Amino acid sequence: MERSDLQCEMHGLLAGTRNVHLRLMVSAIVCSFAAVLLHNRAPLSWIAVTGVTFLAVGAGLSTLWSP
Amino acid sequence: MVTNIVPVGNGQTEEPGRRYAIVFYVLGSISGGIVLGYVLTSIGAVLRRAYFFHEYGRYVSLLVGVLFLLASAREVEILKFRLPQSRSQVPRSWFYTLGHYAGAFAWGGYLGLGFLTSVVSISFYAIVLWIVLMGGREMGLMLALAYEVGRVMPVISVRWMSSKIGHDIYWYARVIGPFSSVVLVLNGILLVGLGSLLLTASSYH
Repeated sequence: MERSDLQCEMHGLLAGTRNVHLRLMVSAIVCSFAAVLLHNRAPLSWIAVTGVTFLAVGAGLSTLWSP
Repeated sequence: MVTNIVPVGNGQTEEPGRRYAIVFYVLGSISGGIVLGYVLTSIGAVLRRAYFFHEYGRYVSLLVGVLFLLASAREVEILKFRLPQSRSQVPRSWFYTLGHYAGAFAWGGYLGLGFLTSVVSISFYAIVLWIVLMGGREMGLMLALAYEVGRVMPVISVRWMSSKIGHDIYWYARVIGPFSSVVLVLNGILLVGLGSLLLTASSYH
């Protein structure tokens, strides 16, 4: 794929992130429900640990684009 | 910087003598991660012995949850504020003074500490906050190493793909370029998820 084609595709993909507020809201609602439903049934901390581990990987990945 | 890190992590050229620079870059990054994790968990251990934590420890997850929600808004540019950071760069002269293998190790270690160079994503500070306030020694080290995995994974992948599929490492570096927003949005979604999880969970205690 040529670079220009890839950039066009990325522009299309990023245009979708204008709905980012909605995605954030859905994520917050789902995680809140998970916290409520799994309370006293499953170790809640493992959900948080998994999430924060992925976040750490994402934080590391993002450094590739530092100026 | 993607066009710098990927080639430098790969030894800058495809010359056979520099082929294993990536191994030293990865080892340097892991060393940097261990130092980062150890320092942050030590700070956290000192803080946990302080009076504040004895009195208000139960509100820590609430505080972290609120800060994660704020961080998520910054990550996806709903809120805009500057992040405190050092904008220093790793001196390229290290490769001439230390040699390519020691230079790659030093490069990886310096970048691996995270706070010595530019910080693009607020997720780095979120991880620092989590390690200091929420994590024990093992968890802190694990998160610091996960951060290093995120740093070195693209460099290793590019090395692997360039040898298996073709194209030089600069081509892959250019291809990776436009994907920064995708990573930041995914980080934002994880931040808001973790923040809301912490807020909801803390309401039970």
